[in-house]
Formats: sequence, structure tokens, C-alpha cells
Amino acid sequence: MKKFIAFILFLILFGSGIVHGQSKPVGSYYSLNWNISVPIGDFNQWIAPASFFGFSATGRYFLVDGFGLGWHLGYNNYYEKDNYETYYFDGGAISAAHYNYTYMVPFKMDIFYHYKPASLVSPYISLGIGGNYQENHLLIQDMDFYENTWNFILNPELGTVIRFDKGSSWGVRLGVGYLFTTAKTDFTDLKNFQSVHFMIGIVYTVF
Amino acid sequence: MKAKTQFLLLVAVMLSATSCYKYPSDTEFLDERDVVLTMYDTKVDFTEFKTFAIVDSIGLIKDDDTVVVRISNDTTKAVLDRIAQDMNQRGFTKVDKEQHPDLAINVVAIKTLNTIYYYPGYWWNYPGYYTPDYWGWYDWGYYYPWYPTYIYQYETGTLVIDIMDQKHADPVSKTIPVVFNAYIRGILNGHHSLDQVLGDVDQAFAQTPQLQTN
Repeated sequence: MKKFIAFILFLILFGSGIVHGQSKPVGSYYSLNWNISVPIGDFNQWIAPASFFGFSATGRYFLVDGFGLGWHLGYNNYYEKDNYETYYFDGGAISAAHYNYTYMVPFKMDIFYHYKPASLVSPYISLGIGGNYQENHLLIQDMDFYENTWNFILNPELGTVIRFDKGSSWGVRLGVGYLFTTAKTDFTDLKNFQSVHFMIGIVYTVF
Repeated sequence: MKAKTQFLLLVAVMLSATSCYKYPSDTEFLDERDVVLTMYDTKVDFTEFKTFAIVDSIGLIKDDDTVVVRISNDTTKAVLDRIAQDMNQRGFTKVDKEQHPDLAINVVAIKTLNTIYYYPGYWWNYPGYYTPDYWGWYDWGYYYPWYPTYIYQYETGTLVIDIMDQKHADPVSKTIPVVFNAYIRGILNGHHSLDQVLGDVDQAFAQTPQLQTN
């Protein structure tokens, strides 16, 4: 994981200096991404393992000098199985193995800046603000206690777009971001679910 | 146009890949240890009870139940004996039902075929359940003094233990309060041994320390 982060940071910091090839202006680009998300903070107490079941779709539109606006729709599925334990509540108790699930569907608007958007390697920084639909499931055998929540998110992100060839519409996108949500679960006292996500995607650019 | 088609194809592939992820399989659930859920009336002082009686067979409740089905064999005897043993260890004395025990214990096994949500207590209306008549309360009913806050889905088999308070039967409403209720889920799916079921009975008492005479 550290190597992966280092690789992304390397591309962000030095990538644009490796190759210069700004031939035609970029109008917009779209990407489909595989998201790996690592719960942190309170979220990590609800579900600790990273989610490898995630994807996102984005569209970004350049306005002026590398700045632009975009949209983002994502999905991640988090899951953890806990051991057989006894939980006490007022007037009773339950002993069981249980599963914690969270489904997260963040949707947001991004404001971004790309350094040399048409370069072979173009790093970016972005800030996303939007909403999140979330389901938390506490599954005890086939008994499914669940809750739905809508909440706000804040999502700063660093990344880079690497084109397959100079002037090519196709490329890949790498990114790392921090996702803060106002989500909580009534099953516990946990709130403000947070995660760090890593993104690898396919990019299609419209010049 | 070709590029757009390729892009849409990629979208479809990614959506398909992520949609394959589902809950654990039924087999994984069935191999899990059972669920033991207990509830009791927090307003009841269990130290005021000294004696109990327990049914001599286990009623069977199924979706298409139209006749009384009660099972009495070595397995059900072992379960009933274990419940009585656990009650004895908590200081209660077993007596015959004709001796008007403070507590009456009903035990039923629920094996529903459909996936339906029920509130606790729905089984009182099934033929296999022991009515108040069995305990000498003719034309009376049962009730939970507390509101059951949980809704359960019965699918794989459940053993229910109800403990009724005969000392405080209400002559006005002609009802007998149920002061303790235990669900042991999963025992009728064929994946569990008798020892596991008996262990779950012990667990029901272990997680209810309030149920004792002192």
C-alpha cells in the first residue's frame, strides 16, 4: 500500500515534468474507476477491513486554465464478520455471530485543477462536495436489522491522468482521496464515517 | 462513435462485476452457531418466585398447522430436563403443575416454511402451543408485560421458552403475564447437534442473571 501511495505521489509531483506534449486543448474527460476504500476513525470501529468492492464514474469539464467542474457517482460495499458474542440491552440479551455491512453511494460535484491538462501525465487536485446514500446492515443469521441514511460528504483528492500516447483519448487515472461523511449508525454511537480511498480508472478524453 | 461504444461497454463490465457481491450464502448462515435471544420483564422481581413446573413435551408449530402436534422423545426430554436443571441451579424448585407453581414454563419449536416477519407471541394461537387451559386457567390468555421491540424472521427453526408468572395472573383481564422469553434460533435446520442445543439452553440462562431466587 505504501508503495502504491508513493507511486501516485511520484506521478503527481514529477509526472508532468517528465513529458511535455500539450498539443490540443482538453475539453473534458470521463473515467470509470475501481475504488479501494479503507475505513478510518469511527467507521473503522464498525467495519475495519478495506473495501475492494467499489467503483465510480466521473465526468470533468475544463473551464479555464486547467480549472474546471465535474461530477462523480460512486459505490462501495464494506463488510466485516464478527465472532459469536453476547450483547446486552435493557431487558434482554442476544448471543450470536453477526455481520456488519455498509453500502455507500456518494454523489458529488468536484472543483478541480489539472496541471497541463493535455500532457501525457497530468496531475490534479480536487475538492468534492455532495451527498451520500448509505445503508448499514447488522445481519444476525438471516435476521437483517438495517437503516438508511442520507448525509453530506467532503472529499479532497490528489491524482493524475496518464494518457497511453501523446494526443490519445484513452488513458488511466490514479488517485488517492479522503472521504468525510456526516453518516452515522444508530446501532452504535459511531458517527462521521471517514475513509481513505484509492482509485484506478480508465479515462476517455474529449479534446 | 466506436470510442463511445467501448466506454459504455466498460461501464457495463464494471457494473456487472460489482453487482456480483452479495450477502454470505445460506449455507454459511446455517453453519453458524445459533442465535440465543432472551427478554424479560424488567419490572419483575424474580426472587419472589420459588417453584416452577414445565410441560412434558415440546409443541411443534408449522405454517400449515391445523392440529395439535407435540413431540415427546429422548431429544425433547433432554431439552426439557436441561431447562429444569438450569432453573434448579437458579434456586427454583420443580413441582407438578397441580401444585400451583409460581412459574409455568412452555416450550415450543417453530418450523416455518415461509419467510415471514412475526412479532413475539404470535405462536400462542397455534394448536401446538400449550394454552392457559393446560395450566388450569380456563378461557384465559397470555400477554407480555413489556412491548416486544424486536421483529424476527423465522426460517430455519426456533425453540421458544416462555415462562409465565402464575402468582400475578390478572383476574380482570384474565391474562397471565409472560415474564421471560427465550428464542434459540437455528436448531431445526439439521446442522446442529443435541449438545449444541443444550449448550444454547444454558446460554439463555447464562445471559439472564436476573432469573434467580436470590
